[in-house]
Amino acid sequence: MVYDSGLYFSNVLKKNIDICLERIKINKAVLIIIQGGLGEGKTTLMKEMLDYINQKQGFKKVDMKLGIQIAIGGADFVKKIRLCYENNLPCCGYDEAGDFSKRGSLTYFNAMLNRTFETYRAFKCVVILTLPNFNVLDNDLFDKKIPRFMLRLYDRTMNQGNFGGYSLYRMLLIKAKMKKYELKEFAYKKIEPNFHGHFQNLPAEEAELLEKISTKHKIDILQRAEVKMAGLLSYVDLSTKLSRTVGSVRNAVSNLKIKPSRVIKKITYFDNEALNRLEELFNYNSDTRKKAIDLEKYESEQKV
Amino acid sequence: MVNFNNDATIGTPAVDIERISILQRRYELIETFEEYKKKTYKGSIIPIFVVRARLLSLFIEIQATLKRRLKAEDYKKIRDVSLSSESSEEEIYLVMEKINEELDIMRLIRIDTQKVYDSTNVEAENKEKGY
Repeated sequence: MVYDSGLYFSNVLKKNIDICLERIKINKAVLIIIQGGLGEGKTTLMKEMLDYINQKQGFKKVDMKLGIQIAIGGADFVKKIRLCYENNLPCCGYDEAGDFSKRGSLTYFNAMLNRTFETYRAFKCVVILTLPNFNVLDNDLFDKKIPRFMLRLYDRTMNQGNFGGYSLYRMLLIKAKMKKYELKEFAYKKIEPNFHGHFQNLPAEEAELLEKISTKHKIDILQRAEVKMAGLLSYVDLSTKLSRTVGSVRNAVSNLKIKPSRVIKKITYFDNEALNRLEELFNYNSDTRKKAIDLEKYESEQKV
Repeated sequence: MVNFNNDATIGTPAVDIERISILQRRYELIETFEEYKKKTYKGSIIPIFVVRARLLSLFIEIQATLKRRLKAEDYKKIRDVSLSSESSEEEIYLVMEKINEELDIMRLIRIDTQKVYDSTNVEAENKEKGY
């Protein structure tokens, strides 16, 4: 316990979280945004805030092993917020963790957030969203007044991280300023934050667990990227390309004794050469079958 | 002073002209009072009749409003001091104070209209700005 608040972050943030919790009581949506570059401590601060909200609402700290309250990626978030509701948990953290690296993900991401908030608003759950730049969020979210405040992380040192807090009003001012400037970050020079604060690192054990959760999803993304870049194909991909069932592709692969190129997370991947060999086999088979049918027709005609 | 020969004045609503006129008379009263105090602080003994006359003119300008807004006894005090040729500096100052307060309530000279809130409380700011 480091600061006067008895928490890992400054008292001013505690005060603002408390005020947001009052909104939850009257069935209003609360979204807190944490924005910052890579390594600024977004996930760390999110965990610290989730712990505080849990404690404030009479729950234990976030269970890192179960990981119900920390969602990494969009699909995980939808699942976790449902689990939070089912377990009566008061908050859920959403680490976008590379969601934005996918093309077209923003539309999906915004649509999902909109839908999620419309559905789960009444379930009294605070959502903390971490992302590199809040300007990618849809205007619709702001029109609905869902984000209540934003923490912008900057200049993290070995010992502590720093943040500036902006109200929804100031976030909209920043968005408006960003439209004017080529250098988006310049908007922050024009709009002062409502408050400044600091946060400390988590204890080593917790930090390690958090790192594991966070890194796991990032490795998944890297593996998916690796598969795409190498042009590898799974059984499902092969069956789609060859217009055959997965079962027949599996049989063909075993008959031709094709060796897989790589096995990632129990999924077998093949290269393009395997696809060519399978194509040849299926084409040969279909030609042979056609010939056999033709021959059968001819013989039956001869009999008549 | 308000120029009634100006076309722009003729096209302006009476309320706006009256506001300017009141502010102008108040400004002149303050200026005269300042001039009077400058001289007395220097040690000169000078009559206060110019200040009395300026106060009278301001009183006449807003007399109907004061009569309507103030309690009868308060109004009478102001009227007596404003019309008297014997009123002292202190009496004049007290009347000026009372008139200032009334003008402030009427929002004619009130400038601190922005609501004060704790800017470190984001929800207070959101609420104030309509979010």
